[in-house]
Amino acid sequence: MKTPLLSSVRKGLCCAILVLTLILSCSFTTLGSVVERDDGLIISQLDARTTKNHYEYVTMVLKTGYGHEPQDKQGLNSLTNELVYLLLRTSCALEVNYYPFAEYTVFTFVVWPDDFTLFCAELDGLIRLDTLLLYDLCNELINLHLHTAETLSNQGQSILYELLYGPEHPYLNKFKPDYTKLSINEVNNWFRAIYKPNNLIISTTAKLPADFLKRPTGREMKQKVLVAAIPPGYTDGPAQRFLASDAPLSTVFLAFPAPQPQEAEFFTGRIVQKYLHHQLWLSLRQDLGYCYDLQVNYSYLNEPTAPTITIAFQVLPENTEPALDAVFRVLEKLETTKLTPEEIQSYREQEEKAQQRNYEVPGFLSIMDALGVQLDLAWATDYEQYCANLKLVSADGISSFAQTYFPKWRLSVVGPVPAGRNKPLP
Amino acid sequence: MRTLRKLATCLLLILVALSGLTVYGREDAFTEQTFANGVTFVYRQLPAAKTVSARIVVPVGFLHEPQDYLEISHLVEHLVFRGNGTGALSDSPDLMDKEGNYYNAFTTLNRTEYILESTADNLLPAFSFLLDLILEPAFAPADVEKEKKIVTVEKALCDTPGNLFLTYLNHLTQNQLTSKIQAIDRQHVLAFHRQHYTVDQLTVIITGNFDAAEIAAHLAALPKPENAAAPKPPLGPPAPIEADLVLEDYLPGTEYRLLFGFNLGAIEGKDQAIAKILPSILLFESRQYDYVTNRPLDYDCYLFKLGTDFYLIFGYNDVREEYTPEMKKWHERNINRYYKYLKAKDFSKFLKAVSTSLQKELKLMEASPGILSEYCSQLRFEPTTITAGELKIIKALSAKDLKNFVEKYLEGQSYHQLVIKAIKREERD
Repeated sequence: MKTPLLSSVRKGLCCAILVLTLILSCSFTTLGSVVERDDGLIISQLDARTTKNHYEYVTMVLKTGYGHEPQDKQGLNSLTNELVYLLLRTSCALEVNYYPFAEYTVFTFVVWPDDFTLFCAELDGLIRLDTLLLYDLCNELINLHLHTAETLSNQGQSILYELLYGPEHPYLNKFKPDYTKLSINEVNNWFRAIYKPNNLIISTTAKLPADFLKRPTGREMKQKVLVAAIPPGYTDGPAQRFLASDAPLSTVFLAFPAPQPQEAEFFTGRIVQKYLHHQLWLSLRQDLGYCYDLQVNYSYLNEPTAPTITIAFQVLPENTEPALDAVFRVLEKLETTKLTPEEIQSYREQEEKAQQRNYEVPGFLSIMDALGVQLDLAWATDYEQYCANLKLVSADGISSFAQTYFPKWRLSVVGPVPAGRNKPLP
Repeated sequence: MRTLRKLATCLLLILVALSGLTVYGREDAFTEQTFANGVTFVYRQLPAAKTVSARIVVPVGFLHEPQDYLEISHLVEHLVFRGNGTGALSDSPDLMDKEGNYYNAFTTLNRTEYILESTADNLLPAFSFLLDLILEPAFAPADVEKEKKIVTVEKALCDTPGNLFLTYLNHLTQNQLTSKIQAIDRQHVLAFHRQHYTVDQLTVIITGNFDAAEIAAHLAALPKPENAAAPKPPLGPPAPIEADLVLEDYLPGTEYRLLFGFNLGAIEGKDQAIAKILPSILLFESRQYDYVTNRPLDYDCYLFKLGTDFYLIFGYNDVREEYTPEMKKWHERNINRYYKYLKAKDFSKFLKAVSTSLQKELKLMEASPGILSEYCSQLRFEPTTITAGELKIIKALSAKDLKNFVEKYLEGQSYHQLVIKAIKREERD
C-alpha cells in the first residue's frame, strides 16, 4: 500500500529504522471495517497499519463448502472451485491460493497495488460469468482425479472421519467424490447457484471499486443462496479400526472432539493441543525414536461446527503398539494430573510467540479477517485479544477438558494390526 | 475462437505455475564477502522486512559420504539439533526457541543447509547459537542411537514405495543412497564432522532486515582452521543401465511407475539453457489426455545434474492398468511424439508466459526474506536453476534452436527405462 508513511520509509535507512521501531512498539491490533451491502456482499476492509509493504491482500470466502454438496454429487463443489481457481491463476494477481474447506471455500490473492483495479475487474468479471465455458479444462480435471491414486493417509483419514461422525456426515464428502457422475453442465449449474454476492465475504486491504459485482449480468444474482446446515454431532466414542496394509510404515490417526472456535473452552483446547504436541514429540520422537514427524492438529477453521484435535504420525509397523501405548499414557496423564502454573505459562508463551509471528503476516491476517467475519470471532485479527483469552486458561479447565474430550477418542491405523489392540473396546 | 484462445492461455499459465520447480532471476542482487578464515558471506538487506532469514550451508551431502557409512551426513544434520550439551533445539516440535526464532535443516545430494528465521533484534544471538551448534555439537552417544532410529523412519518416508527418482539416482550413483546407518557409531560421526564442518567450507546467506556489519564482524572473528579443507572426491562414473530395469515394490493405489532417463552430457551455453526450460515445456505439453486409449499423458519431467552430466527424466504413474509390452510401446510412442512436437511447434507464447510468471515470482520474492534466501542458495548450489543470463537466452530462443536440441540430445539417443511394478497382496500372501 502506498501511504505517505511508506514513502518516507524508502527515503533512508534512519527513517526506516524509526518507522519500524514505531511499528514494532505499537499494538498489532488490526481494525477492520465490515460492511454488508444491499446485495448481501460482505466487505471487510483491513486497516493498513498491519500491511506495511508493497502488496494488497484479498481473501474471498465463498460460504459454500464441500460439506454442502448434494448427495450423489460429491466432488461437485471442489471441481467447480478448482476450475474457478485455475481461471483466477490467469488474473494479474501475483499469488492465488485456494482452500477447499467443509463449510466454506477460501481464495486468497496477493496483488501489486498498481494492478488492484485491474484485478478487481478480473475477479468481478469471473464471478458474473453465466457459465464456465471451459469444457476441455473441466474434462482434464475430471480425468486427472480419476487417474490419481488414493493415498494410505487419505484412507486412514476417511476411516477416522467415519468413526468420528458416522458414514453419512457431510464432512466425509471429501473422501467419496464420484467424478464419473460429474460434468461441465453440473459444474455450471452449481456455479450459477452459489456464486452470488450474498454468498461471499471479501476481506481487502484496498478499497473495492464501488461497482464491484454491481454491473448487469446474464444470470440471477440476488436470490439468497441457501446452504444446508452442517450437523454438529459426533458419534459415540471411543472407537478404533485397522486397515491392513503392507506399507513400510504404519499411519496412525487418533482424534477426539474439541470445542468450536466461538466457545470459551476453545483457548483451553489450543493449550491442550500445544501440550500434546510437545509431550508426544518428546516421548515418541526424542526419547523413543519412533517417529520422524508427529502432528497434533485442531480443525477449528476447516470444520468449525464439529472440530477435532487429531494426533497423526507414522511409525515402523513393529513400533505401532508401543507408540500407541505411549500416546495413551500422555493422554491419561493429563486426565489425572493437573498442570502447574509454570507449565501452563510456558505453553501459553510458546503459543503467543508462534501466533505473534502469524499475526505479523499480512496474508494470515487477511484470511483470519474474512473467516473472523464468517465465524464471528472477535480475536481473529486481534493478537492482544487472542493473548488475553489464552491467559484465562487454567489448570482446572485443562483437566476438565481432558476428562471431557479424551475419553471420546477414535483411532484409525493403516498398517499391520497391532496384536495387543485388536480386541473389543469397553 | 475467443474461448479456445482463452483456454489455451489459461492452460499455458497454469502449467507454467505448476512446473515451478526452478527459480529464475538476478544473481547480482546479492553482496558477497569472503573472510581470511575462508567463510563466504552472501547477503541482501531488505530494510522494510520484519524478519531475517539466515542459511548456513555446509557443502557436504549424500554424494560425499564414505561407502561404509552411507547416510552419515543426514545423521550429522539431525545430531546438530540435539545440541551441544546445554539443550536440544529438536526438543521443540516447532523447532522454535524461547525468543520465537525458528530453525530447520535439510540434507541433499551436495550440501547440508541449516536455516534460521529470526528478527533484526534476535538475529545475532540466535545466529551465533546456531553456528555454535553446527561447529561444536556434543554428539552424545545416546543421541546418536536415537537419531539413527529417527533417520531410519524419515528414510522410509522419503522412500515412499516405488520412489522412481531416488531409485534411479541410486542406480546411477552405484547405490550411494542405500543407507548404512546402522554401521555408524559416534567415532565415525566425529571424524566426518571434523573433516567437513570446518569454518573455511561454510557459506552463510542472510536476507532481510539486519545489521550486515555486525554479522560480518562475527564471521570474520571465527578461528581459521589449521589445515585447509581436503577437496571432495570426484563422483565416480554413473552406473550404466544396459537394459530396462524392472523392479517390484508395494505401490498403494498404483499399478506401476515408469521413468525414462536421458543423459544429456556436460551441456553448456544455449543448450544448457534449453535443457533447463525443457521440463516446463514438456509439462505444458504432457497435461493432455489420450482419448483413444483412455489414458492420461501426465508425465512429470525433471532436470538434474549428477557429476558433470545433466539428466532429463520423465516419470509416469498408472493407477488403472498393468505394465505390459503394449504399454511399453505406448509410452515409447509418446516420447517420440514429444520429439516431433518440440521440433514443430512455436513456443514464443509459452516463453512469454514464462517471463510473466518470472516477474510475479520476483515481485513476491522481494517481500519475503525466507524465499529470497532460498533463491540465493539455489542460484549458488543447484545447477539446474535458471540464471538471469539464461533467461535472456530462453526469451530469444527460436523454433530452430529447439529443433537442433532435440536432434542433438534426444532423438535417436538411447535412454534408461526404469519400471516399478506393484506387488499384489494376494501374490505376497
